[in-house]
Amino acid sequence: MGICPFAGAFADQVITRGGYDAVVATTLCDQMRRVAGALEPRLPVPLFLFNLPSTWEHEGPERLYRDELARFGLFLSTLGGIPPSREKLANQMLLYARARQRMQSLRASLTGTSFLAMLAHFHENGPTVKGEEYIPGPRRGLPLAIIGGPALACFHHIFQFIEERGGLIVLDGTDTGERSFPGPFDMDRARDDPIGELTKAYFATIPHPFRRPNTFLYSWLRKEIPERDVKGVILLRHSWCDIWHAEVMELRKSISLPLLDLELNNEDYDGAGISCRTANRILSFLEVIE
Amino acid sequence: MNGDPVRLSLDQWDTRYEELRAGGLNEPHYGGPLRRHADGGDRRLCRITFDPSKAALRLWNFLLTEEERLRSARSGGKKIVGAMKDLGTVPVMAFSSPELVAFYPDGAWWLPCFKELNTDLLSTADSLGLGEAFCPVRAMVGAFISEKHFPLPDFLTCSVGATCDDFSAIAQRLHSLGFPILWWEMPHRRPPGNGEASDILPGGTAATRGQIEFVRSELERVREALGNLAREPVDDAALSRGIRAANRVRRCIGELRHMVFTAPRCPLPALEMLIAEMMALHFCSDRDECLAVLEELKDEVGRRVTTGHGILDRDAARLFWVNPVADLRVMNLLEEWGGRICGTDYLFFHALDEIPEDISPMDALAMMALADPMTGSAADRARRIIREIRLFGAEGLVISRIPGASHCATEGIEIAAMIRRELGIPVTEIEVPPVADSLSPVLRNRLEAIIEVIKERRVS
Repeated sequence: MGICPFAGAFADQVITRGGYDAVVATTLCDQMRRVAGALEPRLPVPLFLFNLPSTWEHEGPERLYRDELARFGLFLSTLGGIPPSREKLANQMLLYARARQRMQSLRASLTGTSFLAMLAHFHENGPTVKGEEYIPGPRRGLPLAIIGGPALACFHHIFQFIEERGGLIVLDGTDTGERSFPGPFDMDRARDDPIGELTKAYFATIPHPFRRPNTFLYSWLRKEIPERDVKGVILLRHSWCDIWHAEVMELRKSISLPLLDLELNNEDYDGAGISCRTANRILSFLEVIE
Repeated sequence: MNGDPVRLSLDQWDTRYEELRAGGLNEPHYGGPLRRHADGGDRRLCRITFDPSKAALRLWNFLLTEEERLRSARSGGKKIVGAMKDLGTVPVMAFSSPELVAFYPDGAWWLPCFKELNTDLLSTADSLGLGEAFCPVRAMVGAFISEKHFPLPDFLTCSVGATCDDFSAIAQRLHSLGFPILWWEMPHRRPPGNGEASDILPGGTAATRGQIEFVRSELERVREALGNLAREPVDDAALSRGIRAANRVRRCIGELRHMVFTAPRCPLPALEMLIAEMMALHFCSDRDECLAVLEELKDEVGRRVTTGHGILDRDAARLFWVNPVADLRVMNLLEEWGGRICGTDYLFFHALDEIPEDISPMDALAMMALADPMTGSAADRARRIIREIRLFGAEGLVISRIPGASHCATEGIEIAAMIRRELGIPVTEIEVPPVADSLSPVLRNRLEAIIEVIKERRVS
């Protein structure tokens, strides 16, 4: 067993980058949970480990999620943050919701590579993303969906490679892509109970294979794939990610489309571009489904 | 038996069994020669050595007849609960009802070892997308599909959340294949924050009251489902009785562990001791008989300790062992190469600690579940290991990685670092696949190295 490259990259960034007052991780997967545990005693700043429940069929886990949001709020207060009023928090939620709407409205005119860059900006800088800087099109090519774990730098190379070779990524179902957008906020409820609304929008709607059972993921795919007229699906899988790995067979059965299960390797992660193996597999896949 | 007990091969056990029979051996209904299990497909038994006592014979026969016991329970009208992953909590609840028996399908992870890979369990898992990158517990899926190794449970539970990803993913695969599962959430056990109400759990870690209440509410769902299955509620009184009975088993194992790990000469082989500890999980499907088996083993060990007899030389290196091995033979090999086990953490400390009897049974079960070493940090686990190393006087630590297991990527490194820092004893990390014969030279190098270092340190 090795360390998942995303969890490893997270640890490297935390150790080497500096310039932050706290570190936040979640228990979404065992590797991230344990990396957080290993990092904590080595850090000069506090680490908050958000307990993300896997189950969702009963009210208990949702309550646990809500309690974790409240605990996270307290944690931020201990760092010097001032607890926001409900109104202020609701306004902030609105700001993010509008940014996501803006990105979604641009989605149909952007290539997958441009959309990925826009998402990266959003994740890094928050709702300041405007969208004008991401030039629309050309939107030609075989419509594809990418699903899988969280994006690392190599994803940009892979997206670009696919789109330069005749593919068009019309659905970004990676952990950092549009699949992880929360549901819409009810702003009336948000002003009354922002934590409750955050819980509903995030915990109750985001599809992910770590959920037990994992049915959200498949209902999302069944809705999005036909809507975007997807002709093939590429699963970008980080090494040692059991969660996505175990879904491969079920995905093949459920989506009824060609699926390329692409486990990334060391050369893909080294920053110099994508490996020959990955390139060949993508080219073969594109050729076969064209 | 006079003099030191000598470990026996399966062939030698054939002779020994005949001698015992001639001497009027009185066995339970599941008794018989060990050979029959090997003839029935458990070929690994031909490659391992056994303790020569009647008590060990009973232990092995009890272990290797579990499938028959489960089938007999079903034909007697009982419902079978397949508890997954929590390792020690749900079976205590299930056995509180006279209508239920429980077992861990997880135990199928040893089947490839017992069958020396002459089984389609792993290839079935492969064909379902669960290849070698996953922990050997993937064999469980093959066992469900083939229906050859245990009767299909009437009801399945699985704890998820702060568990290992392998298991969660494998259980999800099972669910997708049409085996309904009651999922219950196990939160990550975290240290209580300033001012947060908390309790000390069995084993010494702490959890917040909020987390205990949450786990209790999850277990209430399990309790309700068990009651529906049994067609009678599993009430607090029944649970309290179940907890007391489970504690009798845990106390017996605790006494056995203490005697075996602290005796000047090792009185019981590591392999039999591993099996005895595993009995804490689901009482090998018969709680009363389990206690009787363990009591007999404890008596045997007590006699040996009192008379100063043992199965190993006095100078065997005293090792603490972390994680269960996928290949049982490795426990034999460790002893052949000069080591003995003086302390273990087979990933279920919480199933060995006594469950509180002076509080509400559901609170007690929630606290026990939260004490699972898997749900907390590696540092928590290491602290417990340090305490036990001191208690049992272990001189070195062996961390046995489980192939493919998500927690093994970082946990061993962290535990090893803490043990070196706090105790300054030698540590080695190995990885043991279901059949480790081809890796035997590598394992031997590593284990002999730590044993040699321990013995050199004694001299200096």
